[in-house]
Amino acid sequence: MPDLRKYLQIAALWLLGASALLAGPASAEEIRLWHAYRGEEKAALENLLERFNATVGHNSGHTVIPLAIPFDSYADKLSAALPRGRGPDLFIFAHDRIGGWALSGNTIAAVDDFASAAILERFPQPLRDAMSFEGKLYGLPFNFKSVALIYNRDLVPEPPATAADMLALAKRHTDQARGHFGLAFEYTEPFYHGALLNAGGGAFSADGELQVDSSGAVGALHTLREWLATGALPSEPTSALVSGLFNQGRAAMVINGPWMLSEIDPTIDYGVAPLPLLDNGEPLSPWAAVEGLFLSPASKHPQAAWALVEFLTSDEAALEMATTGKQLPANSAAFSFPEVQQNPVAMAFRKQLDTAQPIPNLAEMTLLWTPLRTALQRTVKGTATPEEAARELQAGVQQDIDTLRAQQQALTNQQNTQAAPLWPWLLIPAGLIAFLLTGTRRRRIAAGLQEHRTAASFVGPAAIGMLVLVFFPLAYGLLLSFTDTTMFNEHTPLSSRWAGLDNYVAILSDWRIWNESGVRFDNFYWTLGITIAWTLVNLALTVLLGLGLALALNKPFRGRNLVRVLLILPWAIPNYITALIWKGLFHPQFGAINQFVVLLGGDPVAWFDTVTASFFTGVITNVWLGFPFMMLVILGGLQTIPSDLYEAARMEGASRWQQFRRITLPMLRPTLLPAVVMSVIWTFNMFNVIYLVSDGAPAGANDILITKAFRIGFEKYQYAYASAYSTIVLLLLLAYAIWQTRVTRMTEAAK
Amino acid sequence: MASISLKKIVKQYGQQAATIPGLDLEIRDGEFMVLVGPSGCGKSTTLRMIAGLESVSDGELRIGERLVNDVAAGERNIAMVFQSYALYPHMTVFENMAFGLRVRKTPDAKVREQVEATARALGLEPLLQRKPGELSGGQRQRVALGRALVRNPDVFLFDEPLSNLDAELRTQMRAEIARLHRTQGTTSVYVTHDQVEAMTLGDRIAIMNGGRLMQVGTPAELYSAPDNTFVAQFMGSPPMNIFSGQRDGTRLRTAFFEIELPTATAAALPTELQVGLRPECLSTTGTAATLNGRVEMIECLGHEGLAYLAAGDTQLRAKLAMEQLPQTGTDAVLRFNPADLYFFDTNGERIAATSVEPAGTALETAGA
Repeated sequence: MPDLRKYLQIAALWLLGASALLAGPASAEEIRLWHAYRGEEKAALENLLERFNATVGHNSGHTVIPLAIPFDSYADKLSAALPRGRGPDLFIFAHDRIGGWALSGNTIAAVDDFASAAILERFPQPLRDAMSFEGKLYGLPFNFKSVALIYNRDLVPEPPATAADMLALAKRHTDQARGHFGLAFEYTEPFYHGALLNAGGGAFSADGELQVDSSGAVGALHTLREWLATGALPSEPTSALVSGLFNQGRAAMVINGPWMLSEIDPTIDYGVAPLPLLDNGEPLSPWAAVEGLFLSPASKHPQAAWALVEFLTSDEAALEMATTGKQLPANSAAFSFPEVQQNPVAMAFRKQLDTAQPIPNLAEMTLLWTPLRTALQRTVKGTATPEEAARELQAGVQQDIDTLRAQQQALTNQQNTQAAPLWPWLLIPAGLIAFLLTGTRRRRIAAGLQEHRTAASFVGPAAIGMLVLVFFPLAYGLLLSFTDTTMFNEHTPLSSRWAGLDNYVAILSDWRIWNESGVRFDNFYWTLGITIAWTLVNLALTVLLGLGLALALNKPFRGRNLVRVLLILPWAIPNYITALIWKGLFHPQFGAINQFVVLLGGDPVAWFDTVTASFFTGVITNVWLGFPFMMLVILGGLQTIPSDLYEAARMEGASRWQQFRRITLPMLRPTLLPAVVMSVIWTFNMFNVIYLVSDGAPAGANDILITKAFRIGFEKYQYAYASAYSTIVLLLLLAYAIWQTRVTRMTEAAK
Repeated sequence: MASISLKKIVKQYGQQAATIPGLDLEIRDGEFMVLVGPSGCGKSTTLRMIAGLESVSDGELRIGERLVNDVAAGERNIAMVFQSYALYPHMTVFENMAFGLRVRKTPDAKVREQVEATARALGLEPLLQRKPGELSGGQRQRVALGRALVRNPDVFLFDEPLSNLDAELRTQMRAEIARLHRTQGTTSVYVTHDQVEAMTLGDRIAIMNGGRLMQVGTPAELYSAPDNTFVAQFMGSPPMNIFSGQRDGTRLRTAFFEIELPTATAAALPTELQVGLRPECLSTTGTAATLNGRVEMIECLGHEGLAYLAAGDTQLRAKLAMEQLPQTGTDAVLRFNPADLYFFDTNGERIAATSVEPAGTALETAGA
């Protein structure tokens, strides 16, 4: 049994190594700091940390070890590491996750005991509020960001003081025919809508209840519609469009944050001013995002970590962040340094802070973003009145919030909210190995490995890769789908999250496809119908186009090779690039397609406003991406048909059409079938095109199952529900594949 | 049923030299005409022009009385059997055979009747519901024949139909095709590079080389009276021995022998010429003329054998009975009848007037 022993040894080593990785060593003298800073802000932070290590840290015997984490994975990494006590001692993050973290426990530590009144004096009240949740302080503010009015000084010498002035000014600088607009901002993005929404009372009441259907919130939607009615704002604004228009001098004013400044063309002379006052004298009050310094509850050196927090929020540090880091420090003292006072841009953003409101740090807020975007889009497009949109928004988000609160209630009722350790997961592979190593199976496997040792060594790495990268996530996703996991209870023991088939029942038993205001686009069966229609239309068009082009290319003609290369090109370009290009082409105001339509004397089409037009944009893009593959496959198939079959048919008097019908088509079947199967599966799951071109517009009507699953998982953070959704997608495709192979086998057997 | 007439047929691709520079051939009604020649000689091109699969560059092609230069293949009422059989792989045998009838919108009942009748004649009935992929090579060949037969065409064309079969099947199918032609009597044109097929099947054989017709005639004519060295060497296996000879007065001198010619014969011959002698006309017995040569190699074929003789740089083959085969390395003396000699000029053309028959007896003594 030498071989068996060897395998066991390897398995044991693997388990050992894995557990060592999970335990994670910690040095007594290190303070670990995580952040997602880049460029200037990172340089400033590192300067400060160096200074700290040389002074305060040196005296107390502590060294700060910073770790810059890529922004995209930062939140997930924190959520995964902190509750398990494996994260940093302190970290820098936006304040809006405080509520969720505070409720789920074990993620951030309350710092009321550390923070003296003198320290708190450093920050303006809104920033202090931002760091508090349910009466507790969870960290100190470090930097803040909010939008303000950025204007082109050549066009707008003096910033407007009131919204009425702003719109009048904007109208004067608008010339739609030339693509000039007075005012541009991403008004369908919830973050930018904050300025209007907060002036109307905000999304949540003082006691944390959702109030997006309040008269103030509805009024905010009305105001937005009035602004748009002036025609001074471009339609379907994206951040690229806004900065593009401003850089080309085609937008007199934009509402944007400090992150845009570095992108402004050096030839543009710009100024920054706080947003103007509304007609009722109330200021527009944009949302402020606050970067906070947070302590981990698992930190072994909370005192030293706090010393670093105090150091980083000191006046001297604030000056460094403002000058070297080009940030807006939370410490007000920064703005009394002459270096900063001479910077009108910084001072303007600082002034805006007086009327800004921190983004609510309630856990409920995370559930609002995507539905609010949909409501904004519907209002802007006129598919819903502000009242309707607000009512639906309130009802939908309130339902999600109730679910979330029920979950949290269940959580607090449980005694054990200790983070579940990861190691039980290792029992699965270990059990699998043990199972494989029992009885005759072991002998058979050992004999098999022995006999095909070379083969096993070649297959091994790929098999391990598949196991780790495919089967494990698949099994985990399946497991997840039987729970009620969301972002907020992710760290609790699996048993406490068990929900059986609830998710599947909820998805499949919801037959309410219509309600009084029309189709419910988030219904599973609507999405399934759209997905099937999407797949069939794409398949039909790609096959037809591919067949036609393949037939044309099959006959030799001058320049055939060139044409073939040109036709394959769409396939050779990464599909997300193509998708983004098509999205640009379909832009109602700036897209080439509408310009062409106008040139031909038609009216511009609002491509993303109706279900059919929006569906069409996706189909066009996907057919463009998909036909070269079909063409190549069919061309290959055509070339395998012996030419003497056609000669024989000609001898028998068959016409071209009869030759095509009776020889070409049936002979293409064997090559076409696998291509169709693959194409169906690809199209069914063609995430990129839907997500990047129509983005499910309008209001998620054109989402296919896979983009819907993504939205549920990563915009609503209902991980388990999304898993169940994905599992259903998988089962549908599996059923299709089985059916398809059975049909193929049957037709083959019939031959 | 129809005759086929080719008059000054030219086939030219693009600007290149003509593949077939001008071919005249008359195929009689009901005749089995074999086109034979080495690969690239234009025989397949000729067949495909008759079929209508290749256009005719110039000349007149008639089937029956009809000029068909510009008539589509499907309108000529011709059936063709391809080398690869060209059976439709996705159709059953029945559908394959019915295809031609169906594209002509023949009523279903009639299609069934005709296909079944043909299938019966060819013994294909048990195979009707199979697909070509499930058939052996011989069966496929038979189906291809059936498909050609079922339409009852005026002309059958065969493009090397047996070359994909093994030797035994080939003999069998050859007999089958011969039998079919005997019973049906349909005008047939058959392309092959195999002279045995040509000899056994053809009523007449047209030998082609380099796009030109070398000779047309019955197998016996081609064998006994070849017009040129090409035909002489093409027909017969192993091919006729050809070697150079010099006439000095009435003496004919070659590397292997020297004989006295009858005066009349000698008068007709140039001084430099080529002499042909078939391997099977050599023997070790008899009283005819003798030739000498060193035996370089022998090949045993069972009841007979081949001896390779050399004299200087010149070689010849002799087909001898087994017991007559000489030893390798020895000098052999073989006998032949001077009447079996063929005379060609240095260009390879037969010198027509050289019948050696009358002088045969006179020469015997001279050779001995």
